[in-house]
Amino acid sequence: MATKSARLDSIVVPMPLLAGLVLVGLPLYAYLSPIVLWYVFALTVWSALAIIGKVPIPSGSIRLLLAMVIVGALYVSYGAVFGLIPGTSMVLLLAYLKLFEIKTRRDITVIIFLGYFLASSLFFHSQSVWVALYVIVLAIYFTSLLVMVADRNASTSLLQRLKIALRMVLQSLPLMLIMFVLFPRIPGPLWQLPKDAQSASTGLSEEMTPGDINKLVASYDVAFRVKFDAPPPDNRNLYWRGLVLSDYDGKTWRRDNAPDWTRPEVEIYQQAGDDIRYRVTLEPHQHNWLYALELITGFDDNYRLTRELQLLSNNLVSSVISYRAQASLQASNHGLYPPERRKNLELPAGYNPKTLALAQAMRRTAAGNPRAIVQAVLQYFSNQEFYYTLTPPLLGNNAMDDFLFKSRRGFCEHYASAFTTLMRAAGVPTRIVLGYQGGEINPVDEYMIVRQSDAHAWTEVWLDDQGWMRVDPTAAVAPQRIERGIQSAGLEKQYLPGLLQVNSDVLNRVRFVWDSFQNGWNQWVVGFDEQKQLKLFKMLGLGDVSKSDLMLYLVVAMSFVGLLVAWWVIRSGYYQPRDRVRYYYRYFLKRLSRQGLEITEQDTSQEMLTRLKIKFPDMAEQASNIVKQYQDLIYGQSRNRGTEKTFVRLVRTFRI
Amino acid sequence: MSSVPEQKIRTAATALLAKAAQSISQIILGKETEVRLALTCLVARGHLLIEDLPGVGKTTLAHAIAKVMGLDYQRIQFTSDLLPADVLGVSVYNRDTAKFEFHPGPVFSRFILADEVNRATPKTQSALLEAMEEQQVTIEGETRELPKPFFVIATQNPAHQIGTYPLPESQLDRFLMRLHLGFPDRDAERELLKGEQRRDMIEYINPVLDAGKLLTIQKQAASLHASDALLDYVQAILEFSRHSDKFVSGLSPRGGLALLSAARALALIEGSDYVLPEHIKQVLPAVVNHRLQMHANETDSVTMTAAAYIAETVPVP
Repeated sequence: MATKSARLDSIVVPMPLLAGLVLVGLPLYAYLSPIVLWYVFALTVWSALAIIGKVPIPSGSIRLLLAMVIVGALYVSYGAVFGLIPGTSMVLLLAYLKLFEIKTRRDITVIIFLGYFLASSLFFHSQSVWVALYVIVLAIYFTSLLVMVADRNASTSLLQRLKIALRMVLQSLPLMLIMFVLFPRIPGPLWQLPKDAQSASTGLSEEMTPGDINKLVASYDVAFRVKFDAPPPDNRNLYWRGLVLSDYDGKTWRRDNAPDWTRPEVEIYQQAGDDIRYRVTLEPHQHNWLYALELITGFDDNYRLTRELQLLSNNLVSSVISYRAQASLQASNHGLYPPERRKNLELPAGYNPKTLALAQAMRRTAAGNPRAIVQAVLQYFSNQEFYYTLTPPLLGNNAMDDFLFKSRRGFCEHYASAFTTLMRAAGVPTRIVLGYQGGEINPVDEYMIVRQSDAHAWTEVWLDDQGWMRVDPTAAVAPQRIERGIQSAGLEKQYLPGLLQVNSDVLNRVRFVWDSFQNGWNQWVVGFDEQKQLKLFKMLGLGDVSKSDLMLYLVVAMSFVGLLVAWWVIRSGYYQPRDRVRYYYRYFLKRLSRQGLEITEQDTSQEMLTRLKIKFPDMAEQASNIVKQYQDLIYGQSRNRGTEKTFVRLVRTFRI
Repeated sequence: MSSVPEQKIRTAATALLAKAAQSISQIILGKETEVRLALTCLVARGHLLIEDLPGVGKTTLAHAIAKVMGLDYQRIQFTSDLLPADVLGVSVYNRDTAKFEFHPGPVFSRFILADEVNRATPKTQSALLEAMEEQQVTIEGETRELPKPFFVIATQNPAHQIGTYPLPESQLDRFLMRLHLGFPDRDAERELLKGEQRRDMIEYINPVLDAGKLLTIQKQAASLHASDALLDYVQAILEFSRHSDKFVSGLSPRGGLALLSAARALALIEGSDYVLPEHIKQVLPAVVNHRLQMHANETDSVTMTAAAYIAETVPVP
């Protein structure tokens, strides 16, 4: 009939709880620093030993000390206690400590909710299908722990609890779907993730040193996927422009970081009607540039285009994003700002004397005609013994001299680098463009997949009469690379991603089906943004919906589901309306038990009264009156509104 | 709400029963609770089984109740050679009328004390028990009604004594209650030793009730209000007895009815207008303990009876 204090065996529950913490911690281990990892490991072993009773449970002051040590360790290894990784580490470690101080059911519930929180924090690191599946498994597991806490008589087995939890998670699906579809999306990320999110990312970086890109070629990871509105252009036209490198220090190429806004407008000349329209779904790469097909002629409003035709986002791309753009194969860029010309002729002084001499010789032969110089250099590459290889030898201080006259073995960045150096030395403004070249159509869903292995570097040369002209020196050495893609470029097979080496139809098919599934996940789950949401409503015939409409739909849909559940619960007889008399009687008992009167659920009111008369004789009269009224109402036949009110008043005026 | 005249009658019944209990307690000293339960059993139209050692006052109790209730009283001493006919009666040929005449046996009285019922053979036992259940006797193809009210107190020696045929569970179920009298406490024993012979005292006490009044009281008890909340409690007990692994088997529906009618009778005796969980709890040991067999391997079954276990486990709704 009332309040038995919720103490419990400290042995029964914590083991499954500890298992839950280990499960939720596993995917985080990859991101934790070694010190923190050691703490996690030590605490796991310690709490396991404490649970089975091999070591005593640490006292309150030791726990406090441990908590302070943990916070200190986090500060030492991350330089902060807040932020994504330190924050999740702290929650994880303190959840372990909480295992040591379980006294009531509420403590267990707190740990379980920390578990849910940690599980959802996994999405900060990755939003792939695998992580989603793992989080669902964790949700079922932690729900089964909640079932365990609620099951006070311990009358269910592990399997039964998991079944109940699975059913509960399945039952929550409709609500989840409603929330997913209807919740208003905010363009761009909901909040800015701290900088340390996903530090280990693959893809092109902000600068290029020869030897960078051939490392990428070993990666089979998807860089982005493209859906063309019309049949895609030929492979040799698929230049996905990322960023432009103009600064050279003799070793590394960097972006020109002069502020963009000081420059005049972009000048693109374009013939009408040959636009190629497409949508890109970009995997997160933790940089702010986007990839677009050359030559870009149109893009979404929320991005901006620099004078060098780099498409930029305002935020780092830390989750899958999707954008539309258009390109024209005939368009050309005619913008050259005087400082830009200067920048694109600069070479570090004192390096590569032989290369400079070669450039001067070529310039003289071509009589200063830039077009002829380009031809001369490309012919030089194709006529001399140059090799296209993934394993170029290391280059010395005068890297270009070494490459052009000694090793003559290189990957795209070597050729781009050498070409640009020669052209600049010959007095023609030239720059390097980094991006991807090529792409593979997935026959299953007709998306084009561009992988990290398609990473490429090429160049742009300024011709006064034609604007910027793309020149790909790699094409002079290995034309197949450009015509048919990286796997046909005659490169050493053992350095290519495993899956690119195999030539099996079955395997290819599996690969494509799996990729189309991942793509579907990206398109419809991770990438379900405002545009897709609006499109969905248009498809459903609801026309244009505003954010407030969405909120309204959301409220209506949730209420509908709520009412449906309520109707079902009432119909199935699980629900009994609250009985005022019992409610107030329970309140009366609660007050008595707070005074120290022992009351159990098995007591009859008379038994309780007998004990009360001994312990608190002063209250006996008031209390017997209340009990008598209660019995009359619950067990007698005199119940009506009036008697109920009298009873409620009696309980309310009861003074201890 | 019960009407005023009804309540008056009920109060009158309560007063009469209180007086009866008082009279009996003058003879059976220090056993107020058992006397009260025995009366409850009578009011609930059930039969009573008293299990105890010889000489603790079983027969005296039965005799006193019969006297106070103003019922005609017959005692049948069960022995191993007692035959069913000795209990039920027999047809004898009358030479004058040239017909068989039925000579009713001791069972045809309102109040029967079946002493040491477990000393008779199962055949004789079942003759009596069937009469108790059916309230009628069929002899030589003719069915004869037993008088009303009809009340049997059977006494039983503990099962381990020599020469006993213990009643099987199916027959135990027919007794509404089973009581243990036990030894009197110190004061009661002293008074017993000082005072008169108890059996003689019975001669002097006056009947408080008669058959007609008892029937009315029984009817009143049966119609006492039992609320849904109370039935919830009864059902919780039944369900618990059926699902718990402490018991060999659960309470039968008859057990449930027995619990309710006993609680009703007790409520009437206590002068309550309705049945309370208290009443259930008070009759629980007497009604339930002989119906529920606890598993032998339960270590705590030595110290705890089925009723105590139920009372401690089942929450009052």
